[in-house]
Amino acid sequence: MTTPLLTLDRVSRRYDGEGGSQLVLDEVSFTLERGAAVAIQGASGAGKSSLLNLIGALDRPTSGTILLDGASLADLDDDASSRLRAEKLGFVFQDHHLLPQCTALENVLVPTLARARSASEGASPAAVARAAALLERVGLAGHAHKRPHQLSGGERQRVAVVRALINQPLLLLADEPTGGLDRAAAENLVDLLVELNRETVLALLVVTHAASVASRLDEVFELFDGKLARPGG
Amino acid sequence: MSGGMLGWRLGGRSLVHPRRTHLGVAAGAAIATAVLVGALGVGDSLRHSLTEGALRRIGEVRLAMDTGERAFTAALADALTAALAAPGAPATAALHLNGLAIADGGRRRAPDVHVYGVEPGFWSAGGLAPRALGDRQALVNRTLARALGVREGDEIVLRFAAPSALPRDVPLGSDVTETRTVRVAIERVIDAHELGDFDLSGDPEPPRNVFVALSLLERGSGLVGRRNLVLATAPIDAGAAGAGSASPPIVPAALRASWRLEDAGARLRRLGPDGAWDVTSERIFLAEPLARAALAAAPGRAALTYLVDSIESASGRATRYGMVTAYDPIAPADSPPAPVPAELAPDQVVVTRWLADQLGVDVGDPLTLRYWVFGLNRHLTRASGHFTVAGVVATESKGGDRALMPEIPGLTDVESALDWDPAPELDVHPERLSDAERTYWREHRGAPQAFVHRSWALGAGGWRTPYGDVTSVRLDGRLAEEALRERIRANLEPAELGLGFQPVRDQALRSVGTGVASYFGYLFASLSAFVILAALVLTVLLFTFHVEQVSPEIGTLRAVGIPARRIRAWLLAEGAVVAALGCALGIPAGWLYVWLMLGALAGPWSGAVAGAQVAFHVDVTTPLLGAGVVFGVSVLGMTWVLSRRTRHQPHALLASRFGVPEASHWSRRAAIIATVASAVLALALASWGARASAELATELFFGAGACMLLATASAAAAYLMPAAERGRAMVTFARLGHLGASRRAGRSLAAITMLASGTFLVISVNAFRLGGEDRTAAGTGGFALFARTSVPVAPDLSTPDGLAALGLERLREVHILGLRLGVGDEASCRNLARPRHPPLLGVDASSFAARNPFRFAGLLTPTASPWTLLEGSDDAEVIPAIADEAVAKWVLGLGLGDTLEYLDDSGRPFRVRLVGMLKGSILQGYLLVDARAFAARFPSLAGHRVFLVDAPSGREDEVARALAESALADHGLTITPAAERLASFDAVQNTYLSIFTAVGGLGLVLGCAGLGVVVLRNVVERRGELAAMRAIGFSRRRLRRLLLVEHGLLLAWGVGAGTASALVAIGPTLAERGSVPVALLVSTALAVIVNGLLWTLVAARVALAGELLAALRHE
Repeated sequence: MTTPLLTLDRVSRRYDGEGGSQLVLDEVSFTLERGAAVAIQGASGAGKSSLLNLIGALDRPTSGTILLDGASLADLDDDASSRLRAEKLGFVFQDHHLLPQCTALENVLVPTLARARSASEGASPAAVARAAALLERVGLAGHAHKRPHQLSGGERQRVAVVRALINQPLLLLADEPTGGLDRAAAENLVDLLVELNRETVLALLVVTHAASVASRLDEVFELFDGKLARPGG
Repeated sequence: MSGGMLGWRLGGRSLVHPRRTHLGVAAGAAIATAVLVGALGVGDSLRHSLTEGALRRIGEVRLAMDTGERAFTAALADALTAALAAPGAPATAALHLNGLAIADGGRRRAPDVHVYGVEPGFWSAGGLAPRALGDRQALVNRTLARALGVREGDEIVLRFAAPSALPRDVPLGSDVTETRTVRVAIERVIDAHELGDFDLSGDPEPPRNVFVALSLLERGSGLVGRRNLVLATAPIDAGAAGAGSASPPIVPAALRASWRLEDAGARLRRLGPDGAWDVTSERIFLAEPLARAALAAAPGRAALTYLVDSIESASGRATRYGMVTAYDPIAPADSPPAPVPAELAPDQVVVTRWLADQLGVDVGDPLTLRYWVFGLNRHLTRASGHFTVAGVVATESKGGDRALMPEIPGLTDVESALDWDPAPELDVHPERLSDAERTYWREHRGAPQAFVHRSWALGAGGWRTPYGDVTSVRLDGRLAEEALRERIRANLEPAELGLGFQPVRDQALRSVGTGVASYFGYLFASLSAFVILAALVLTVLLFTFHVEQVSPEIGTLRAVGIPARRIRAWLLAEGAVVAALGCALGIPAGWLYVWLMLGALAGPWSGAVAGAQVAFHVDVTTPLLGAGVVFGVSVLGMTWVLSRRTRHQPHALLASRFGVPEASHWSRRAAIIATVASAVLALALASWGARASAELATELFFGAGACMLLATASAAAAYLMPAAERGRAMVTFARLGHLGASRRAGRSLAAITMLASGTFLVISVNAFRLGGEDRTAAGTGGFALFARTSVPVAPDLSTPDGLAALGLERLREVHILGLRLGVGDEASCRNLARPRHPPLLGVDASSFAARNPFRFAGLLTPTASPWTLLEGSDDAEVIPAIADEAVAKWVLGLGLGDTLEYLDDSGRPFRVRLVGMLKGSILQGYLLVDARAFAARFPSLAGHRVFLVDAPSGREDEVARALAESALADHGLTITPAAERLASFDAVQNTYLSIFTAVGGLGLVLGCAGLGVVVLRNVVERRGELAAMRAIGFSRRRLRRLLLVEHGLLLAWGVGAGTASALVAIGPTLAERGSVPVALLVSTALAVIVNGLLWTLVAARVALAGELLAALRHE
């Protein structure tokens, strides 16, 4: 029996603010197998992004444990969690957050620099080849040297997906990836994510409002009142 | 609600709830205003203090007649004071001598002391009550009291040169170095407001003054019944008063009406009953205007009577020490007779019967005259003339009388020839006189023994002197005395004899108004220009950020149909109000800045104002000007920003996102072409500067620097237009930084330019810091000591005899060059007022040419022997001069070939043309002219007062001690090591450089702060991207590193560009020095880099410290 890729055990997250303390996640427990594709839905403010941030080691839970690929995220300092994100995770956001001064190819290669040892160390030839292949895979081979403002919204988001995949992560975290796209572009993007999930061992965890997106994935969870449950469960 | 009201309300809300950028905009405007108002305020304070000081020194005096060594009669003084006084505006006369004060039994001495013999009414010139001084009482000013360490009740001795009617250069008088002393008790020490600092010169240093009763000084100096100073306080017609450097003296009607021949040192006497009139001078030689006026007044002839060493016949018989008179053989009808025939040839001589008998000669026999030719510095040269006897006349015949011999103390005032006491240089030995010669003296005194043609006497090798060539004018005796006097007076302008007034008050005000003090504020402002510019750039940059921040709001307003023009007006109004508030806050901050700067100018930077006491004073208009300029420039900058930022389409504004367009091939190529062209031009200008004159070199320095800054800015612009790496994936940390820096190319270029300009200024300015052994050797001219006396020294200390005369035989191997010092205001860069008459310094051009000391910055006519330029002039009215470059350019505003007008001893104007400029030297403060030309125009200023001493290495102290302990001490000697004197001048320039560096450094700090703001802004703008980078695996540390790389590149560009520009611009200076100031370069670059990195790091840390995750959501 293989170890689950991701395990959340009674994870809570409480935020202290001016209006007092607010419990956003309340003892959430959840397991994600390797290669699985899961959608998480919930109303605005339900804590979907908070959950994603905790899984991505961008935030720490108030209580509970999170294991990614068998390792606890609680023990990681800033450097180690950064390394973990660089090696095992990929992120796609609603806003692509591409660097406007870099070409599509350069944007894709930026994550490889997270592990560079010197200012002059660039991406390896293998990484460059992989970036080119991935861009070709998503239909952007002819746009590799264009800058973000020269691409459409859907193209930009596809570049963002490729950027998330460049380091061959185990888990792709997507936060409302189709939020800023028109319907056709959104469908294209979901097709791409699903295909990638099926072709590789890449697991998908997609936070989305859109039922059309959620329905394309293996499982759907809903975050409500701080608890994670299957819809209607 | 109308759109306008909505706009104003929006603007108002911004102000009530100011954004941080508003505070920044206001702070930038406040800093710029404070620095500008402060700089101009420092200038106001200095100008005000100098003006007050100048007026305090001259009291209420408006007109002054100061004749120096040429005293006039008390009768003239009385007439003038009576005529020039007005109700409430008195006039007074005084005696003014220069000397030294001695206290404590000779242990304490103060040179350069002004001794004023005054009447009670003198104090009225200062608006004070009349005050009578007791016979032995003195008032001393605070400066002198401090110099001597004396107080009320103490006794001091005043020593001054005995006024000499004879030119000190003519070795006829018996004791030319005689000084006189007066002992007085100090009644009180008086301050500047009590007229204690009374001074008609424009010297920057407070004078050392002592005031005694006029009668005491008259007796003490031997100038009884004489005055040399008249002061009038009545207003004068400004139109009649010139105030230029050498404006013609003002001759009031009273002066024209009252002056007499005696006021010009002339004497008129009748030679026996019904005899001819004889005009002579108490100075032996009649001034040329006087001789001319006398000859024009009545038929007559000029005579020049000369002492000859011997008169010899062909047979070898000789007489000693006889007088010979040169006459014009042809004279107008009715002229007094002369013992020379009209047909006398220049090589003929007429002898007296006595001489013919003594020598055994007769008509047709040859005769030789051996005599001394007067040279400079009491130098005598043996010369001789060969004649043929053309006639023999009776001894003491008409026109050959004893009255022809000028009055020479020690010769004419003794009964027996054995009692002669001539100057030692004459080598006259009365004991060698024969009995016949002694008898002649007893019976005929100085009656001439022979007569020659005047044309021979005035020819080469003859008897012409710099002081004149007439010792007597014989006029037709039929004219009545008064009529003759009137005729002579009618032919003379008083100014020709040095009698005339100067509008001293107007001159003092003009001097302050046109000197360094007048533009010190603007100079300071220009020194502060960089910091002002940095603050303004910061203001506009922060306003830009504000506009970017509110871009979505602008987009909304545009989207709802409000025209961009109106939105611009609202935003501009908002920015203008913020800037105005900042400017208003900057005014009191500017006053504080003035106060702080005055503190520095009274302390570490006192060299820049020559130690002047500067009191706080800011003109009313200064804050308005400063704030107005800053406000205007800020609003202009804001207008420019708004015109650029509001032109985007509403959707782009709403998205607050502007593309990063790829630079076109052409714009990159244009930047590269601009780089190469500017760099080539910069190098060309710099290499031209290496060969150009000093004046041009400064302009070329700035030109080369500006071009190189342009070149580096163009290179930076090209760098900030990175080409997409087509076909290659070159993404590295460094490239990411490069791309990041180029993202907001304008912003990055602004930061680079600010840093480059600051670095350029600090490095290049400090490269001009003066000092170093090589410079000292050039600046001192190789001389070890610079000495100056209060009283002229007649013996020539470059000769063994001169040294012996002062008991300095043991200094035979020491070379001492004496220089003649004219009257004038100090013209060094320590004088913040424009000198009216920079003192002339008479140098022996030939001995300077032989030695060739000092280094030249520029010559009117290139030559290998620059000092010889002083010797020649095509124009008799123009004499060549050499001056220190800094003095000529900055203090006098003169270039090579320019002239400055002076008045000679006789009030005649002449011009001094600048033919050479010295590189910073110990002779700063003077205009150097040839001593011969000096002596010809200022016969009254004979003797040396400045000395350049070339002491053997290692013996400087010993030589200085020997000089200080010699008889020179009684001449008010001050000795300064030449290197020390040079350093004191350098200190002025170095202080300016320090101010420049400090203010430039402040600007650099602001520039670095600006860089920090740019970093902050860049980070805030890119929080989303940075958060995304965190999410894809970049640690905070790595992100900080990325920001450091990105902004470090800007820093490196800025420092590199500034350093490269400075190196090119100062290339000629470095080439001359032969070394590169590595330490300066490295320390400046390091300081800027460390400072910039610090700001960058702080800004990056602050920006990345917050929670980035929120930025991951849609912004």
